[in-house]
Amino acid sequence: MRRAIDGGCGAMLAHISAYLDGELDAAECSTIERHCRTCPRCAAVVDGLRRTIGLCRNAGKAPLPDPVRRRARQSIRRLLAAEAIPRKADGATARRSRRRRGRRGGRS
Amino acid sequence: MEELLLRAQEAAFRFSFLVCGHTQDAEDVMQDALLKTYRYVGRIREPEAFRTWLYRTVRNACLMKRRRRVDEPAHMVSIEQGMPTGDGGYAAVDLEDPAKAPDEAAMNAWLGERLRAALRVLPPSYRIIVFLREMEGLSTREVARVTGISEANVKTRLHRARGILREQLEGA
Repeated sequence: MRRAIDGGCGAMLAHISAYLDGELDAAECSTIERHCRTCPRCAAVVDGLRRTIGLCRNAGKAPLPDPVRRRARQSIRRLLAAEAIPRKADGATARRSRRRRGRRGGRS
Repeated sequence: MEELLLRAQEAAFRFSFLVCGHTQDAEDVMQDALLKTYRYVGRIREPEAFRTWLYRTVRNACLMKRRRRVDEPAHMVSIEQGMPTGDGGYAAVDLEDPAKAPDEAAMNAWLGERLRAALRVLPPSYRIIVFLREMEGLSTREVARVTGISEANVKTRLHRARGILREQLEGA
């Protein structure tokens, strides 16, 4: 849906998130950019929000502290090892019963 | 498989630590996410469905932790004395392993003290949106599914949260 951005500070600030998220069309974007060229306050808000979003996105990409990551890996390996034992046992049981069925089939 | 489980644990840790502010509980929530993901992993069909499932699961685990904390006893038991056993005796109190609690300096180095402080100022209902949308990179639709609010509401909260964060970070 097309939004009316009249070029004033209030309308500009109401659409700023949509602008930063790339949700506005070319005409709406150029209205905002034109406004920012003549309004240092709004230009500062846009720059500040860009920095804030960038900071959050970088924080989301940072790997966890090494000790936490190490403990996470250890618990995964413990879980996978514990789950592998019953599976191996299940497999051995299935092989034994297949052999038994095979022997019975051979006799008849 | 190991990498997928690690990703689930990392997401759980970040969520617990950043959204709920539970430094001590974060690794318990990680463990919970690990077991639940392991059981769920065979049913994964689309990555988007997995992501929303994972964050919903972690969110519920954090809420359960908070509820348990509300139910904690009103008075504390002395460590030296121990817990009364009912037969007139006392049993040793189980203490949290201090090696498991990530220290403040490591957490600040990881995230940045200023950002952590700014996130703490946000209401929890805004913090979860910032976390899922900005830090974890979920789409508006995915965030709406995890939080159970409309996409329009997600956008409104994100817009307000960004403004608050900018003011906190820039001292405006």
